[in-house]
Amino acid sequence: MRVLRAAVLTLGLLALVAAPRHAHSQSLAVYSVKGLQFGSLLPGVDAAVSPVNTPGRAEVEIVGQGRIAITIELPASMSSPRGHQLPLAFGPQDGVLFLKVSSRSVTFDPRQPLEATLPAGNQQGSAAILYLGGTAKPARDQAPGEYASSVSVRIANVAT
Amino acid sequence: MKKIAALAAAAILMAAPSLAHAQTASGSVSVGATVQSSLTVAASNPLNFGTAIAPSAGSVTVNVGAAPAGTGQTLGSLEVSHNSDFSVSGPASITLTSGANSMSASLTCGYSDTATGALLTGTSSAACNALPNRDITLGTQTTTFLQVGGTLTVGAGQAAGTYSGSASFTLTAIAS
Repeated sequence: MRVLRAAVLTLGLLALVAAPRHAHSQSLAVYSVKGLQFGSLLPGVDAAVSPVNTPGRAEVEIVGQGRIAITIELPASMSSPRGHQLPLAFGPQDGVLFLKVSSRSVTFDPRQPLEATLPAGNQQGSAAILYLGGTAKPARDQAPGEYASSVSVRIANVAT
Repeated sequence: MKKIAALAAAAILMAAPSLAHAQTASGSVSVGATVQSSLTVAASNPLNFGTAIAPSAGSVTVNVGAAPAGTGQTLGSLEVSHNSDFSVSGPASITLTSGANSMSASLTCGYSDTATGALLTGTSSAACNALPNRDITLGTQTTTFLQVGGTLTVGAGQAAGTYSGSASFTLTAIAS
């Protein structure tokens, strides 16, 4: 019986030690709000979508708090149902992270991982919005039709 | 005491993974675009039958297109830039006029990768009002020359002069 009590006490102490660490790590979530849309393209004419105030930009909501790392997997091209490829390009100004609490925007290169601190105090809604732009580069002989691809966004807590 | 230590160690082992586990989340965003069919006529060369001498009786024909154009003759052509198949609608014949005088020429069309040379033979060459569609391998073709040749019939007593006319062609991109 003494052994059991001691064990329970030990587990309780461990729980107390562990609890504060858990309280810091709010659940992380990524929600796609809007895709990156280049619209109607002409063969041989590049089309750029800015991540700032343009209707075609992608929009992703990020839920969480604390220090996080954002990694974006960008496609090299879009594909048509017939298998034709339409090249894509992303530059150093094509990512914007908007922090809701401070209303501060950070421009970043989406080809590189980004670390940011999401402030506490916005437990229910998203803490930040990630905007993504890019450039579609159709060739002169680009086959007409629909093209599609996807961007993967991954976030992870960073130990502080 | 050993049991307590063992239990504590077990508890630590159980707790350790959740403390070290990094939270992650991921999602995907769609990317999309629509490439339009593109079809433009960039340049043209006139069809020229050259010089013909009216016979004293019957008629003579002057052909352009069955063979490389002769002296003073040119094969007509339209340079078409496109990224899809297209169809052509054109006239079967044309009337050439010189003042009040006129004569008629039938028109033959074909497709080529170059502006010069004889009209292509086979299924890609036909009367201009019955030309098959220009079919391409999508993603590889950007320029086609629509060649226009024909046969001019010059009758006996045809008045001398410089005759001219024009023919309109309508090109339509075919959605893939």
